[in-house]
Amino acid sequence: MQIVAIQLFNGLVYGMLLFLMSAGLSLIFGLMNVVNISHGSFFMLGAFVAVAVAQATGSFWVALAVAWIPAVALGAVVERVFLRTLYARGHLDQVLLTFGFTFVFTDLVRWIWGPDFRSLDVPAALQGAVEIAGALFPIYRLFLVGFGAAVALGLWLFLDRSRLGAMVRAAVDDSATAAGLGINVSLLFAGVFALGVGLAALGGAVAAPVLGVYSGLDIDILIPSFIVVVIGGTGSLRGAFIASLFVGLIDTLGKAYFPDFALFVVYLLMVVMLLSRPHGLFGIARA
Amino acid sequence: MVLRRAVLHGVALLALAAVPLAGDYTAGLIAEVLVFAIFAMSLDLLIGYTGLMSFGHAAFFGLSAYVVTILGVHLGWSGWWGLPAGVALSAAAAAVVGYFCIRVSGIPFLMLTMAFSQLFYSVSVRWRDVTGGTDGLTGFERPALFGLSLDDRTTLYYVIAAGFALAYWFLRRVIASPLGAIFIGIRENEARMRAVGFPVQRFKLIAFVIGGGVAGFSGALYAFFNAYVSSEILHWALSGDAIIMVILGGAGTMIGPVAGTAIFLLLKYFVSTHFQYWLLVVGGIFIACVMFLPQGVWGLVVQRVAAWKRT
Amino acid sequence: METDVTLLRIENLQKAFGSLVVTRDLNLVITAGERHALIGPNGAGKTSLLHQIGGQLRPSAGRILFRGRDITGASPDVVCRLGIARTFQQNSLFRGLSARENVRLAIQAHQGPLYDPLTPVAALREHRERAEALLRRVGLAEGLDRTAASLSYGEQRQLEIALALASEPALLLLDEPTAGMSPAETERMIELIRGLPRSLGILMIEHDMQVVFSLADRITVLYYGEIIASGTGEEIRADPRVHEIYLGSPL
Repeated sequence: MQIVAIQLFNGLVYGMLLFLMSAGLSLIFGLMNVVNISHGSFFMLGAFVAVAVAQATGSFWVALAVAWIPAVALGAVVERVFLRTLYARGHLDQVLLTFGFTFVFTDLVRWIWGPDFRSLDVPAALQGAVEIAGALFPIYRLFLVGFGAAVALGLWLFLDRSRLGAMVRAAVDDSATAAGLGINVSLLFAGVFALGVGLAALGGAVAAPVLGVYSGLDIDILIPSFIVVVIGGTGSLRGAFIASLFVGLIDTLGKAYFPDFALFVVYLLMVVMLLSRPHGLFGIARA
Repeated sequence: MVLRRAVLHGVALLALAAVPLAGDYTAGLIAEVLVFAIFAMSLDLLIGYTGLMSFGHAAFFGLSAYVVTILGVHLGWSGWWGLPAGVALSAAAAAVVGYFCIRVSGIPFLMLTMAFSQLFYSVSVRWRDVTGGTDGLTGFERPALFGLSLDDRTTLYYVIAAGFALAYWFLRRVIASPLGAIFIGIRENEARMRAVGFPVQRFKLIAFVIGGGVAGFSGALYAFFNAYVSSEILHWALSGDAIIMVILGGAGTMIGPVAGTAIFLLLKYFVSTHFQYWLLVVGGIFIACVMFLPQGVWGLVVQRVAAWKRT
Repeated sequence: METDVTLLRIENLQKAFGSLVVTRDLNLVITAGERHALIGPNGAGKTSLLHQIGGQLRPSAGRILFRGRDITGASPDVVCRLGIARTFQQNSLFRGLSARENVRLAIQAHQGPLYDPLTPVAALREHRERAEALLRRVGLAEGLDRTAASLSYGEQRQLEIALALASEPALLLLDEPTAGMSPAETERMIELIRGLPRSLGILMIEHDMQVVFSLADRITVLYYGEIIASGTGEEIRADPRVHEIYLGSPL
C-alpha cells in the first residue's frame, strides 16, 4: 500500500513539472496559434541558470528567484524581434522560427556550460522526508507539489480575476474582436509568450534536483508536454492541468508496474484519446 | 520544353556518373548528400506538396536502416533482402503512425508526429539486445552486386546514385500524376477538396505512407553507406535536419530538397571543422532563411528565372 | 412545377452552438429541378443550413434526406459524390493553381482516376477538354492558365460555380453567388445561373431581391433559424410577416 502511495505521489510530482511546461505551451498556442517548439529549450535554460546561480551564490532560493529572468528576457526578444515580424505570414512560419531557435539554444547551452550532466542540490530546509502513514515522502517533492499547485492557482486567479487576464481570455477567444475593443493584442502576445517561457524556465529550475540538468533535457521534457497538450486539448489551461497530472501519474505508474511497456503506456493513452476525442479533453475544434 | 528537360536530365545523369573521377573523398561526400537528399525529398512530398508538417520523419528513415542492419547482423540476411524489408516496414509503420496523426491537422499534427518519432527513438535506446542502443550496431556486411562488393567505394557510390535517380524519378512521376494532383490540392485548400468530393483523410494517409516508404528507402541506402547504425538516426535532431534541408532548399520543388541537403551537409562539414558549435550557425542560417527567404534557395532561383523570362 | 420528385427533404432539423440556436425545427422540401431561394436577414441561419446539407456542419437533431437517402451528418466528400455540390460565400479555391487545374481537380474527384501515381496529369486530355468547356460555360474563356489568386474577384466567383458544376450535381447549393459583385458582374451571374439546365435543382442564398425574384421558383424566408414563410414569389411578396422583417425594403 505504501509503495502504491509513493508511486502515486511521484506521479503527481512529475505531473506538476509537466504542468509548468504545458501551461505556457497551451497559453501561447491558444493565443497565438503557434506551438513554441523551443519551449523545452527555455525549460533547460532555466535549469542551467539555476545551477550556475546556486554555484555562484550558494543559495538555492536565490537561484530559484532569478532563474526565470534570462528566459523571460530572451523570450521577449524572440517574440518582439523575430515572431512578430512574421504575424502577417502563416502560423507555420512562426513555428519554424521557434524550431530554428531550438538549434541555437542547444548549442548556446553547450557552449556556455559544456556537455556534462549537472545536478542541483536540494536546499537544506527541504532535505529529508516526512513519514505519513508509514510511507516516506521526500520534503522537496512535497514542496514541488505545493509549488505546482500554487502556480496553477496563481495562473487561474490571473486569468479569471484580473483585468489583464480577462484581456488574454478575450484575445484567446477572438483576437480580431479583442483588437477591435482596443486591446493591444500584439503587446499581449509578447507578454503571454514571455510569461509562458518564464514558467517553463521556473519549471526547469525547480525540476533540476529531480530530473537533473543536461543537454537534451529540452526534448525529454518537450515530448511529454506535447502529449499533455494533445490530450488536454490545445489552448485550454484546465485541460493542460488535468492532462499533466494524468500523464504524470500514468507514466510513473507505468514505469513502476510495467517497466517493459512503460514507454508505450503514455502513447497508448494518447492514441485512445485521439480515437475517441481528437480535440482533447477540453479542446475546441479550430480551423 | 520537353526536349530541354530531357537534356537537363541527361546532363545531370552524366554528372552523377562522372563523380567517382573526382576521387573517393568527394564521391563519399556526394554519396552521403544523395542518401539524405532522398530523405529530404520524401519529406518534401509531405511538407511541400501535401502540406503535412511532419516533424518526425526520421522514424521511417531510422526504422529501415535498423531493419537492414539488424536483419544483416542478427540473421545474416543480405542487404538486397533487407532493403525491400526496410522499405515495407517503414511504409507499414507510416501507415500506423499516420492513421492516428491525420486525425488532427496543423500544429497538433506536427506535435503528434514529433511525439511518435520519439517513441521509435526511445525503443531503439532501450532495446539494446537487438539495436545496440546508443553504442550502435556494428558488423553489417555490405552486399555485393554482380560480384562486386559494395565495400568498394565506387560500386557503393553507383548503387546510391542509382537509388537516388530512381527515387527522384518516382517522386517526380507521383507529383505529376493524378494522385499527386490530389496531394497538391490538399495543400492548397483541404476544405475545398472535401467539398468537391475527395476523401481527404485517405489521401493524406497515402501521402504519409509514400513519404514513409521513400524515407525507408533512403534509410536502407544509409545502412549500405555507413554499415553501422546507432539510435542517433532515430533522434528527432535528424527529423529537424531534414526539415532544414527542405525549407533551406525550397519546399514544394523537386530540386529544392536536393540543393538544401547539399548546402546543409557542406555547411556542417565546413563549419564543424572550424567551430564546435555548428548547430548555432545552422540554426541562425535557418532562422534567417525563414524570415527573409521563405521560398528557399531553389525557390528563389525559380522565381528569378520566371521573372527573367517575362522580360 | 413540371416534375414533383422530391430531391431534398429536411425534417425537423435542429442546430445549436451552446445556447445559440441557428436552425430551429426546420422542415423543407426541394423537388427535382426546382430553383429555390433562401432569404433572411444576417444571422438568420442561412449559411448554417447550407453547411448542414453540404456536410460542413453536423446537425444537432433532425434528418436530411437526399433522393430518399439519409445524409444527415455525412462528410462533405460523401455528400458531393452523392450529387450535391456547393459554392462558398467566401471564395474557397485552390489559389496557387491555374483556373484550369482548379476545375480539372473537381472533375477528377468525380471521374477519377484517384489512385494512379504514374500517369502524367497532362495526359488526361478528356479532363482538360471538359475543364475548358466548363470554364467557357461560366464565362471564363480567357486566361485559363492564370492562377486562381490572380483572377479578379468576379472571375473567382465564376470559378466557384465551375468547381461546383464539375461534379455534375443534381442539387447545387449557391451561397450568395453575387456577393460583392458589380452590377454588370451581377447581371452576368444571373444569366449564368438562368442558363443552367432546368433539370438541376438549385438552393441559393441571396441578398439581392432582384436576383431572387428573377431566378427562384420558390422562396423560403429564414428568421433566427426558423422558416417564417415559404412559397412562390407572389406569396412571399404578399406575406405580412415577411414585410415586418424587411420593413422598408422594397419587395
